[in-house]
Order: sequence, then C-alpha cells, then structure tokens
Amino acid sequence: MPKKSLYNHFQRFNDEYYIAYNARSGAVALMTPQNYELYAQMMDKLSADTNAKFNDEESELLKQLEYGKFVCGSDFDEQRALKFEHHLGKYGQSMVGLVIAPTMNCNMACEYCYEENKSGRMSEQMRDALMEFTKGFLGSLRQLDVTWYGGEPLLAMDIIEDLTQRFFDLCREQRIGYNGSIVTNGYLMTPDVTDRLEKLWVRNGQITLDGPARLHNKKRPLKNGKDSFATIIENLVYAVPKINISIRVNIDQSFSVDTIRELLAELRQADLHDKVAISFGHLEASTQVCANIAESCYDTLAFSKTEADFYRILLSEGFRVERIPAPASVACMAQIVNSFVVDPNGYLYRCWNYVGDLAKSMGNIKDSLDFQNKNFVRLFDVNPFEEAACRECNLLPLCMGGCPARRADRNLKGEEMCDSWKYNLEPMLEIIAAYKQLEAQRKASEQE
Amino acid sequence: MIYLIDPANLKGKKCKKYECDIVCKLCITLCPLDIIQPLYSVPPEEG
Repeated sequence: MPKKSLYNHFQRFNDEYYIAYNARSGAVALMTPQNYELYAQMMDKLSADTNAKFNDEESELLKQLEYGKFVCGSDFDEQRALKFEHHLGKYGQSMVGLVIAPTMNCNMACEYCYEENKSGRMSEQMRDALMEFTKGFLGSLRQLDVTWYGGEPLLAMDIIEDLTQRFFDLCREQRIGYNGSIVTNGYLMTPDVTDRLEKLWVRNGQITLDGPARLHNKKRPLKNGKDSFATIIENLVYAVPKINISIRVNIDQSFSVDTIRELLAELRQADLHDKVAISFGHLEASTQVCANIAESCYDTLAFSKTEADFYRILLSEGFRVERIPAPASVACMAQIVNSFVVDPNGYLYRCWNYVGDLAKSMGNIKDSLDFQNKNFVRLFDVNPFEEAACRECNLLPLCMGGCPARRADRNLKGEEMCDSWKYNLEPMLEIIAAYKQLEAQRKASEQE
Repeated sequence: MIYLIDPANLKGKKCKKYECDIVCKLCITLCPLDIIQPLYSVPPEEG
C-alpha cells in the first residue's frame, strides 16, 4: 500500500491551484483544490487503514502522485534510498571532474576576492603531468568534465587550447565523452576568443556582473583601474548564441531592488534579457583573504528573502527564472571521489575556494592520490546523515547537508548550514510556477 | 496534476551537473536545468 513521501511540500498557489513539490524527485506540479482535498482524504484513509481501497478517481490520482514520488510503497525506505544515491554519487568511477586553473593571474582587482593574488601559469611539464594524471582514471572512465577556472583563465587561452586538444585526443582514442565549461570575468571573452572556446567545446560559461555598470565598475575594476562593464556586455552579446551563459550577481547588503532593476534595464538594452540566465550568489567571507567584507554580507535568512525578491523582479521584467529546487546526491564536488580542483603547479584541492592555498591542498598530480590525506578527508567525510537536523530535514535531497567547506571551516552545524531554499522555498515555488506557466503559454502561442 | 517540472525530464535532459550529481554553489549556475545539453559526446575526428 502507498504512503506519503517524507519530502512533500504543498502550498496554495492561486484560486485555481495548489503547488505540489517533492524534494526527492524535484517534481513541481499544479493540483486543483479538489485533487488536493482528495489526496488529503486518501492519506487519512491510509493512516486509519493501511489496506484501504481506492475508487477509480483516487487510483488515477495515486498514479499521478507516484510519478512525482509524492507517494511511495509503504515498505519503501526513502531515507535509505537517499543514502544509497548519496554513496553512488560520492564513489562513482565513470566520471572525472577537473576544475583547472591554468593560471592564478587575474586582470581584475575585486574587493571580495577570496584568492590570494598569485601569479603563475601551468608549465608544459605540468600539463604533461596533468595528462598522465587523467590517464590514471582510464578503464572505468566514461565522461570527462573540465571547467576552466582561475585566476582569470582567459589570460591563459593558449594553455586551454593545448590541454583541450590533448583531452580531445584522449577522449577520441578511448571513446570517452567530454564536456567543457568556464568561469570567467568575461572581459577577455572577445568574439575571437568565443569562437575558439566554442570549437573547444566550452558549452557553459559563468560570468559575474556585480550590479549595473556604475556599481560593477567599482566592485570589479580592472587591475589598471579601468572599467570593465561595457566590454563584458559587448562580449556577451556575441557569445550568447554560441555558449550557454549564466550571469552571476554576487549579493551583499549594498544591493537593493532598484539596483537590480537598473542592471536588468542595462541587460535589456543590450537585448540580453531572454538570452542569459541570471543567478544571485550569496556573498560570504569564506576565507581569511576576504574577511574584510564580512560586515557587508547578509546572513542566510536575510539573503533568502532578498533572493526571492530579486527573482520576483526577474519574473516581472521578463527575464528567465532558472533556479529550481532540484535534488542532488551530494552537496558539491568536494564529496565526489574523482573530482578535483587543479592549480597551475599541479596541486589538488577539494574546493574552489581553496585554490592556491597550499595548506589546504590534498596533494599534487605528480604524486599518487592519497585518499587518507587530511585535506581530502576533511570535506569528503562530511556526512549529512550523521546529523539529526539534516537527516530529518524534508529538504535534505536538495542540499545534502550544504557546503562541506562552510561546515568544516566555520564549524557550522544544524540550521546554520541551511541553504536559502530552507527559508524561501514557498515564494520561490510561486515564482517558478508562474514562470513555467508563462513559458508554456509562450511556447503554445509560438506553435499557433 | 499538471507537472511544471517533470521529474523524468530532470534526468532525461542529461544536464551534466544533474546527471553527474555535481551541484555546488559555484557551479550550479553553469547548469540551468532548462538548457538541454547534448553533453558527453565523444569529440569528433579532426577535420
């Protein structure tokens, strides 16, 4: 007999519908109030009698609920299944994820940067070692996932080209799938560079714009003091048909609704409003290097409210809404055995925030991997199922205990670790549902 | 029920971050779910 899932969320949407969301499947659905009532009655019936019989209408609804994992078999242990998926995600051998910083040099001087200002490029010898390191995974390897990172990776475009060609050769020879992404400040992503990146299968790019031009230019000036906003926008206009671009806006207390509207107006003016995804990053003092910004940062509760307000503006201004509460088997790459951040000197890290900080390295690509290294274990071993607050949380499938580095570095526990979903799920589901309805209407009218 | 986010599509779209279950705060924005990504194909032969 069926039982209701531990990970269900139902909320009123409007006069016509309820929103039904399940954190384990990621399903978001609309239900009529009649169906919601019917669901509640069925669950009541089941708690009174586990062998309760259902009529045709109830059975049909049950089928639809099962599809979204809103109900499961009474003998199905959802927590155990979640734990199993978590282990699969952690120990999977078919994929290797490399976040490669070909240089630590950067052309910007952002006030909140968590990286110490380091220079250095990956030498040819180190690139050879990186290829040998990658070949070490052959056998079980089916997918190679490379993200170019830095510093500013486009300052080392020659290295990106060289390594990608070598990865291509390896992948062709071994019949391994390949995917590339880049995190860049976008200033050097000229049309020529975009064309080259496209050929290198860089399909996704993340670029940061910290507000409208007047603010971005203050927060993210070039090292020579010049402005960067206009050039980045110009580059984006060329890049968006070729590379999936996501714009990250790092939010601190200096951002207001008006600030966001100003940025959106500038993006609309460049005709980018329906061509880029925008996400809001929660700025936090994650390392000692950026401790100076701590006072201007939001705590998670305040950030979650601001985040929902900003997404509401995206919706009302006709921008894409692409933050969705999708389940993940692990919190991040730190918990995946075969995912590594690699710096220009071949040092390996578990977290993007640590790149260049040798005290947090788990070894070097030239040496054998040591899975007992304290800097590997420290984040890899973070286990949300060991903490009652996480284990019992009905949003656990979404965050899987949250950022392991945040937990380990700042000694956070329980609700201190919660993601903004914990506080803004309801308004965000409303925004997502409204956006999906608009999208469906738009598609329907295009087909007419 | 009207599924606005269909759980089958969450897997079926082969979004790399979800297929591989890597979702970290930095990289999640690289992978908006609605972008269908024909990922992990083997690079074609040169020329």
